[in-house]
Amino acid sequence: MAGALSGGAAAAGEVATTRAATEARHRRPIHQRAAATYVVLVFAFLFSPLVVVVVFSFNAIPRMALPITDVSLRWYQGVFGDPEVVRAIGRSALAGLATAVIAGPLGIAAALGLHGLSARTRSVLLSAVLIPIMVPGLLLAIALALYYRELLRIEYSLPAAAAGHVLIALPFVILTMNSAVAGFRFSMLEAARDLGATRWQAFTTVTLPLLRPAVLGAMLLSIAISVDEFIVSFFVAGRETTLPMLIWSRVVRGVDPSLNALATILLVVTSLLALLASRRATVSV
Amino acid sequence: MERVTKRFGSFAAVDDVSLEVVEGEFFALLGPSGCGKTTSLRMMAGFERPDAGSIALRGRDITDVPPNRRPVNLVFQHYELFPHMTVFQNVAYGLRLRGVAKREIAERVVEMLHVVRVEELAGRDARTLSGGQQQRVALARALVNRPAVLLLDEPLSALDVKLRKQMQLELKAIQHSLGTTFVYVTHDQEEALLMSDRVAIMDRGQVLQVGTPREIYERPAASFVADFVGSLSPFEVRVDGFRDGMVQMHPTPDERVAIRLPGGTITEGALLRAAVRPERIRLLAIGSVPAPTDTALHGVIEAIDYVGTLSHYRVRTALGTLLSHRLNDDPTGAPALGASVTVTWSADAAFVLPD
Repeated sequence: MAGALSGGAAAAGEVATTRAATEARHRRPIHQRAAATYVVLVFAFLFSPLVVVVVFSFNAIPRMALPITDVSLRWYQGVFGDPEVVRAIGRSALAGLATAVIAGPLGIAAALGLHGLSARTRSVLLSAVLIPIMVPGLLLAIALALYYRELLRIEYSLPAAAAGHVLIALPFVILTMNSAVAGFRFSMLEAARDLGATRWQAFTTVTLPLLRPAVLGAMLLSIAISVDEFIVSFFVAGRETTLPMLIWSRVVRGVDPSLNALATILLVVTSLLALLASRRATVSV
Repeated sequence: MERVTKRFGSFAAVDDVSLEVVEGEFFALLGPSGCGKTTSLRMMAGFERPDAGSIALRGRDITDVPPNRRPVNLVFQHYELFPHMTVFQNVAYGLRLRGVAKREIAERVVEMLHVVRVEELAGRDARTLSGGQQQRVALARALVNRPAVLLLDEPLSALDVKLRKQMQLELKAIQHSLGTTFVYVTHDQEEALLMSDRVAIMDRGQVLQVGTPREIYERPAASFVADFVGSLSPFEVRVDGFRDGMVQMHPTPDERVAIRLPGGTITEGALLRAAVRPERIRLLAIGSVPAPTDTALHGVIEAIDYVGTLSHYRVRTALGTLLSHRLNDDPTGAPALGASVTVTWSADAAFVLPD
């Protein structure tokens, strides 16, 4: 009985506090409400194009107009039934994996190598690493195209594009790995050596397992960068069309509702990868 | 170690040092920070290569043998346990690399965890251990490999005082029961005296004295050693004469200072630098007469520091301020601040300070 009473009292108290909170919200000063509205507007601006694409990818009729009367997965079925699309997805996946597999180890090696240098040299080299990020993609793409054709005399192809993706992803990998390496206790390697490990064994049994979260994060990021990359691929992939290239070519041809489905797939895949990558990178030691 | 020198740039961290550690002993390298003790230890472990000289183990030159091929193990100051492994995996690490059979690894790891008394932690994540537990696991991880020499780099410095005292005794007991040679680096003189069979005192890259704790404390071979190990009251007096192997000195006519004559010759009238340990200086009430061969000085109590078991007295005398430790076992007989006392010590208590 007493329990029920006190329970009722607690519930009443709760109601009171919620009401108080609601009133407080209403009484919030104007500048705070303005700030909240502003944040909402910014997010609306950022995400409304994406929302439009995603929403219309489920529209049953090929007309991009509201209201949507019927929901369907027909565009998705169409996408996966289109051999050209499936091939493009396959190529993008291949390029993404290749980028990760190449940029990952290169980035680890670079970060570990940087660590061995003096702090001054390291900071100079790290700034140099940033330069490719700031170079306009178009410039990089044209440079690569000329480099391949005039100097290396390499045919434009998927491997050529993937090599370009490595170039773009590598600075990000090095930066991610560098912060992970900075927090790594190198004296732990001495402990391993002291216990009988060769340099290589110390690397595989201590360095690598401890840096693994950062390594995986950097590799996922590489995949996301590669899958999303358009300009370099456009210039040097030749006839081996990747997914962004295919979307581009279809957009040029005219509005096609299946593009919404395709874009949504690309959006989901790259944001998932980026999300996973940031999770990994932050839990690194 | 024979005539070993290690330079960092132009600075000689270890300067022409020769040391011999006897199999099975607990050997301490004692000195202030920057004296070269850790560098010496790291050269024994193989992490630093001497610029000159050589290091041998059981008659075999190991100067150029990499750390992973030396039959020595190091307990690091900050333990350096592998955080991605369990306690068991940490301890098993060295044995696994050596290709020891799985069953033997399990047996030896469990046995060693038992020796360091943390067998219940075997399955725990190394990250979740307390400082004291990490210390024990680090010790087990090194000892399980049955090293010819176990090197320890200030292993207790990260622990709180109480735990440190306990671990000092335990480490000593473990060393005793396993019979492994321990080389122990520390800057804590009390720790070195308590634990070691022999101590090497280092300063500025050089070894000043090697000896048993008693030799180091009672017969310091250098002023630095005398000053660094324990506390003491140094003073200077003019030599008035010799009698019965004792130096006679009279700072004032009714006072005398007694020092047993050291090996060297001392000319009459020379200025002698000597010192006495505080626990050897006794304070007598005015009126009690010291033995005729003992020191007798007038003193006034300048300060008293109460530290529990002991009280530290600072006494002003003709020789300067002397430090005297008195056991707080009888508060009624304790001299008060500002009191006049007779300061005395036996001739054996004082020693001449080497230059």
